[in-house]
Amino acid sequence: MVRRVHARRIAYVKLLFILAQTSYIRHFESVVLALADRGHELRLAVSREGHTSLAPALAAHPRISQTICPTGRADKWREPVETLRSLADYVHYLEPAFLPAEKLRTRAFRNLAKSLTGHEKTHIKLRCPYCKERIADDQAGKLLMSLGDQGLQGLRRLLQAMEASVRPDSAHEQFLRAERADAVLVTPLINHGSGQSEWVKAARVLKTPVGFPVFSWDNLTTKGLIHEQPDRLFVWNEIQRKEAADYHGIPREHVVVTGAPRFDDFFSMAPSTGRATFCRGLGLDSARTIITYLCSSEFVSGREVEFVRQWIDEVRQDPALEGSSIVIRPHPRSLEQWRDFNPSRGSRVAVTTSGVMNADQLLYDSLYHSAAIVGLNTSAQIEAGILGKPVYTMLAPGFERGQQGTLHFQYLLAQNGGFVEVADSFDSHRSQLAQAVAGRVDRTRVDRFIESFIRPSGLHLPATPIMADAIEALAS
Amino acid sequence: MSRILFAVPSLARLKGFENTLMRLAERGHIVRIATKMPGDTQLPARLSTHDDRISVTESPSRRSDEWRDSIVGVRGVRNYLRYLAPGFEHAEKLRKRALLEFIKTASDGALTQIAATCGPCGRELKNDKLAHMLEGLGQDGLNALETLFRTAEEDIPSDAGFDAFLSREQPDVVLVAPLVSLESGQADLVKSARTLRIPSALPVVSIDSLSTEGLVTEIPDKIFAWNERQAREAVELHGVPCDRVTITGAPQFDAFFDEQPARSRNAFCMAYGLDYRMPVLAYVCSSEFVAKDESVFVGRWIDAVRRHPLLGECGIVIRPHPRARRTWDDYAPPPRVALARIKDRDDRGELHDVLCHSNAVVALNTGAWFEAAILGKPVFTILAPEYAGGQAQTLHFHYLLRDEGGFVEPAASLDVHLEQLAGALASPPGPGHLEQHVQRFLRPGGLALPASHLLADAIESLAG
Repeated sequence: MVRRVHARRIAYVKLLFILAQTSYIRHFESVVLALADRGHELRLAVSREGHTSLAPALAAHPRISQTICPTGRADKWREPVETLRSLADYVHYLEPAFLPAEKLRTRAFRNLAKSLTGHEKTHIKLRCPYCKERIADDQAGKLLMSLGDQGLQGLRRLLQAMEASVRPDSAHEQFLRAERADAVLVTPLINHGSGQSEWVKAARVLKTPVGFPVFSWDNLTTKGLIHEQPDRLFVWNEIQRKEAADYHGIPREHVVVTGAPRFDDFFSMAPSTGRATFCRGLGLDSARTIITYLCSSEFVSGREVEFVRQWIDEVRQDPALEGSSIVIRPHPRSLEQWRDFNPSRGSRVAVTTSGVMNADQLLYDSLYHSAAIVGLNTSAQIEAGILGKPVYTMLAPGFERGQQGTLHFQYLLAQNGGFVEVADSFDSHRSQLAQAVAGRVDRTRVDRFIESFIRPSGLHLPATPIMADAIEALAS
Repeated sequence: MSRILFAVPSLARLKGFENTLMRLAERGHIVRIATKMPGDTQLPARLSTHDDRISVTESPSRRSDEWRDSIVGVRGVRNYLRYLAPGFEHAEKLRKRALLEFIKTASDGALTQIAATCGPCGRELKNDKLAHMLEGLGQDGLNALETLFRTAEEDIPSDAGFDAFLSREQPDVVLVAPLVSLESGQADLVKSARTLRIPSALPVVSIDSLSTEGLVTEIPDKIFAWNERQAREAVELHGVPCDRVTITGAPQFDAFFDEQPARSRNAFCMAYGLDYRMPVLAYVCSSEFVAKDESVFVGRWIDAVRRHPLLGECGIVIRPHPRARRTWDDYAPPPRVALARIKDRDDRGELHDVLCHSNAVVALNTGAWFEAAILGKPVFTILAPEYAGGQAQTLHFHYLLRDEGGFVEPAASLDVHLEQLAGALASPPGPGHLEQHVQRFLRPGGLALPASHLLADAIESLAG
């Protein structure tokens, strides 16, 4: 756990951290603790629906507390504003950069459908007046492209103007007034149709500085728009700074690159066991090399079990890989699909299940003892990079929408300056893995990317104090 | 004495309100006519006699703030959505017009159409065929969209340019007509009037204004409606609170009530080369929106009339619609058919004489039906499938029909229509047979009471 006592003398401030759910604090836990250790008061505000108990370290801290905050507007805009933002979010995905992002656009459209139907439906089916066939979801939404570039620009401007004309909600204002915070932080802010924009609106009216610590590496390209611009964005890296400008219209000077504090704990972890103990625990032969397969979220890959079975069979066809052990790490939020997956004794395949989303020791151990890592598109690939491991992916048929159909997938690829080697067939994938298990790996490139992506100030400089400094600066 | 500001898109649109304005001037009020057309300062001849009290000023034509280009989006979407609401299911032509007007206005003329391709069948989905698919959202979805844009309109502040204009003019009351047009910026004048606490009102311009044009997106303090039917339209179609509607009658027809024929029937027939001994049928053309290329239909109608044993020898006068008069430039009338003369788009032609000296009046769907009714002429229409968009698909058409309580005799075919005409010529109705309809539609306050007087009273009352 990264905890530093700050030496500088500054006035203590009260910071209000507004979260859609308590669990969202997990990516900023170290920052909250650092700020509290520096003497500041940290108040975590969560809606009643999203409220759960705090992690022990936070709950135990005398200067950290949690409260319930309002959710949704109390005035005539309560429902229309959700429609407005959902519509703007969808139209955002009609921008040229997102045209291949069908899966993301479909998600945005379903959210719009929900809003338009009072949360009763997630599908909208239009009918062609000629053939009477159904035109549903994104295909229906894409009819908006008939407006042409100019018309779509006009629509975007219109929706922005409408958002700007929405006055702050009095309940949100009252809450902020009562809290008397020196600065407000809001995350994740850009969930589709998010009501969290109300906090930014209210904070701006009260002239309370408001910051948006970006929750994750894909958030600025896979979620909704930033409908109301905060005073500061705290982002992981220069890529996100550019995304903030290009896709959300945030001026560069309003963005502070802090790195990703969520990985600081992972950086400081160590293996919990030796290789022999680790392998024995999984029923694997410690003399064999290990390849770890990191499963992706259900949004990216849906049901991944069948693909993983195929992948194992394919990998086994290569004499150089045939003898390797394989560790499967299901996504912490998609454990259910692995319930009936029982590798046979002697198959040299093991499954490690963990529901831990952050700084997962089991993940650390799996990666640490592996020679190569494989995944379709998941954050755990970054953790693998932190350990300097070679990471591979395959452009797998059926998963295009969760891979090439997202912008952030491209960032990690070696061909784009990242560290993840991509293969477009099992043959080339096997060949890449064979190189890795033979130890032919360029760790320098991995480190270089990890530094630029999650610790741009220096690979050995934790992001936590940098973000804590930036938040202090915002509040002062 | 009050200062009355009357905003119209151009001075030509004052027609119909001249009597009211003169009456207000005669009562000592100052009338300022605000138009958005630069240089449009020449008062109509009738009003120029009161130029000591009636004058013209130029109003802003659109907002000057960040909403300048976007406001039309908020209003245009609502205008289109209204035609997807219950009651307008069949109003395809009106819906198309609302869409095309929106596309054109929102793009400042750069776009004239929208089109996409149907994935499954590959057919081109163009304009209303495309936009009408929004019906798939269901009524809840459409309502959610309407609520969004209405709520946005409510929160859009008044524009500084319009505020400044009204502050300079310092009117006691602001009248805005027609207020249902997307591009006029008139809604912003009403918004500013509200901001400055100046009473505002919409004197309704025409019989179909509230049911065939755009929404009243900014509801003024008063709607001066022609009749009960319009009052209901204001409430049901535009969400106007009942207590904001005042029924004044239709001042547009006061001049016609007072008008006398310019010449005798004999002189009229002679001027048009018709036999004065024979009955005369008047065919009054409709606007191009109702009936494009109407001359083809009129030709068929004339042929049918000529073949009828009792009607064949009748004289026929065709009165082109003033705004479509050019389409008749090359028309060569057959024998015993005359074309009424119209000088320009604002000329009423010889409407009074044409109607007065006719025995029956035929039209597809036009306001001139009312003038015919004022003169007690039997009025007929033919339900022409090719013009359904301008007839059956409009709301007001139905309530003018005799079988729905109106005074226009409809026929589903030319044969039936000819029998109706023959019957009317054989047994002419008494001169007062349409009075109750005229009163109900045009002068609910009493047939002898000019609506312009009532409207002037209502304006005075609003001005305080």
